[in-house]
Amino acid sequence: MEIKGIKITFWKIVGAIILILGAIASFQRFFYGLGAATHLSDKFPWGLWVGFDVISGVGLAAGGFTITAIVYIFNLKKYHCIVKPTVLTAFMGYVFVGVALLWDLGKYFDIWHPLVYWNHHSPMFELAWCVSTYTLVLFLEFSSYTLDKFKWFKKPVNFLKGIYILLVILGVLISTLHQSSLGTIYVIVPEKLYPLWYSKLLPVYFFFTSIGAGLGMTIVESYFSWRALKHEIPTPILANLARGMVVIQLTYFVAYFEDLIVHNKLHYLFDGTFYSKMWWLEFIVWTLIPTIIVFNKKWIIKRVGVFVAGFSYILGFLLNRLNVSTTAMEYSAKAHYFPSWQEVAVSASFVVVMFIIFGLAVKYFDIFEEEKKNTN
Amino acid sequence: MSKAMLIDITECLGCGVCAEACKKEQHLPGKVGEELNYENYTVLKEVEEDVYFRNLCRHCVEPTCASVCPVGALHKTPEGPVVYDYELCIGCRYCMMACPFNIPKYEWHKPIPRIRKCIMCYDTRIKKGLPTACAEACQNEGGGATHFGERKELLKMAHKRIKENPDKYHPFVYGEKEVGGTGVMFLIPKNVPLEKFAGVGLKRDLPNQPLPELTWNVLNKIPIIVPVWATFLTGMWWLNNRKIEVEENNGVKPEKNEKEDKNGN
Repeated sequence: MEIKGIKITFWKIVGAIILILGAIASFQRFFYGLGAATHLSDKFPWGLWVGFDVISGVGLAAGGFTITAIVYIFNLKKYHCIVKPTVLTAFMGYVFVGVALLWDLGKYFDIWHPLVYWNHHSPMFELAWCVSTYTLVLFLEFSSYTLDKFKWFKKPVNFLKGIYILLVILGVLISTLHQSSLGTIYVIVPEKLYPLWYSKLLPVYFFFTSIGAGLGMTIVESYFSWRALKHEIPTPILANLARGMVVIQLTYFVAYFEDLIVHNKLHYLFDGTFYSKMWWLEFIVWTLIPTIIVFNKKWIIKRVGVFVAGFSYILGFLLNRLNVSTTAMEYSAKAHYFPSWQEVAVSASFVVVMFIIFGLAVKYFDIFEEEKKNTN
Repeated sequence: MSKAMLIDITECLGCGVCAEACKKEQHLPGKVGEELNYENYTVLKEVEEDVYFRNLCRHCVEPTCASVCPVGALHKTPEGPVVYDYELCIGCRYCMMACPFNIPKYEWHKPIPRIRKCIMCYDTRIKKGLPTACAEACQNEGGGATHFGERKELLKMAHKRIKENPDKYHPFVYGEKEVGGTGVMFLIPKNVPLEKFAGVGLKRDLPNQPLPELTWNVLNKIPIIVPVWATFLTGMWWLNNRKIEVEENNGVKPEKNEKEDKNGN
C-alpha cells in the first residue's frame, strides 16, 4: 500500500500507533501529573521510566565505550567497521536517557540542577555529571566522522580527529564511573533489595555486565540494520563479539555466584518464590542460552545464531536491570508494581523514535561506508 | 546541640492531638489520615488494643535522604531537623526510594509535585527555640508521651526509665543506634512483641551503620580509580600502536598481519 509516495508497512503502522499512544500518555503525565499517568505510588516511587529508560537505557548504550576501546586502545582494527553505527547508537541512547528523564522527574524543567547544585555524596549526582559529559564526548566522536562533509566544519573536525584517542580514553573513564554508579544507587538499600540481587559489589557487576550489553547491542543492531537497511557486517566479526560477550558474562557470573555462596544466599534459589523464579529466568536468558549458542560450533557461524545469542543476552540484561529496580524492590515495598499502559507507551515511543532516527542517520551520513571493503 | 524527640509508647493514649497540631502548624490540607502521605506528616497506628505507634520522620543523625539527593534539596540542619528545599528539588524521588523508614511522600496528583515530610517545625519553632507542635500538644493536652529536648538528655532519660522499670520496657531505645542513630526515638512496652512494631514502622533488620557510608565507600574510590585506569588505558594504547609501528619498520605491513589474523580465526 502506498499513500503520497510513502510506503505503508506493518511495522510503520505499529510504530505510528505506539507514537499516538505515547503522545496521549505524555499529555496525561504533563497536565495531570505522575499519579494520573503511572502506577507509581508512595510505596513504589520508581518504576519503568527509571528501570527501563535510565538504568537499562544507559547500560544498553555501553557499546559506545566498549567498541571504541576495542578498536582504538586495544587496536583490534578489524572491528573498525562497527565503530560508526555503534557510536551513533550510543549517542542517541544517551540523548534519549536525558530526554526520557523529563517524563519521570517531577520538576523536569529543573533537570539541570545537579550540574549547579552539588551533592557529591549522591550516586545520582555523579550519574548526572557523567551522563552529561559523556553525551558531549559521544557527540564530538560522532561529529568527527560525519561533519566533514560540510565545508565549514573541516577545521574543527580535523582537530577532533587529532585528539580522537583522548576522546576515546575519556569516554572509557567516564563510562566506568557511571555504568558502575547505576549499581551504586542500590548499594544504599541493603534491607530493601531482595537478597538475591543485593550485593555491595553491585557497582562492579553493573560495570562489567555493561560491557557485555554493549557487545550484545552491537550484534542486535547489526542484525536489524541488515534486515531493514541491507547493510551487512561480516558474521565472523559479530560472532567474535558474541564470544567476548559470553566470556565477560561467565566471568561476572562466577564472581556473582561466589558472592551468593559467601553470604549464604543459595537457599533463596530453591525456595520456589516469585523472586527465585525471576532469578532462574534471568539466569537462563542472560547467561545460559548465549553460552550454549556460542560454544556450539554449528550455531555460532550462522548469522541467525549470532543474533539469537546477542538478543537473548540483551533480553536477559533487561531482565536483570528490571529485577534489580523493580522485582527486588517489591520485596520490601510490600506492594506489587506493574507499569500502566501510559508508562509502557512512553517508553516504547522512545524506542520507536530511536529506530526512526537511526534509519535517517544511516541514510544521510556514511556510517556503513566500510562495509564494501569488508564484505569483499 | 541537636534537638530530638523521645516517644514513650507506654504513655501514648492514642488521642491524636499530635497529628492535629501538626496539621495546623504545617498548614496541611484534609483531615488526619491513617497513612503518611502528602497531607499527613505524622499518623497514629493502633498496634494492639490501647497501644499506639506514632510514625513520623526520624531526623536521622546521618540522614540517607540527604545523602542520596543529587542536588542537596534535603539537608540536616545543625539544630537537628532534616529539612527540604523545594526550589532545589528536581522530583527524582531517590529520597523516597532510599529512606530506610519510607518517610518522604510525593504529591502524585500534581503536575509539579513536591516532596512532603515532617521538618520538625524547623522554620516556625526550632529556630525560635520552641518545642515542636506535636510535642507541645502531647504534653499539654495529650498523654505526655512525646518528649522534646536535646538528644543526649533524652537518651539519658530513656535509659533511666528502662533501668527503673525493666519490666515495663524492651531493654533498648529504638533509634539510639539504628542506621547510626535517629533524632526521633522510641521506648517500646515490653508486653508487646517487637514484631508487631516492625510492620508499622520500627523495622528490626536495620544495621547500626549509617547507610550513607555504604555508597560513600564506593564513591570515594573514584579519585583513586581514575588516575590508575587512565594510566592503564593510555599505556595499552601506546603498546598496541607501537607494535604496529615496529611491524612496519620490519617491512611487515599491518594489513598483511590482519589477513593472517582472519585466516587464523
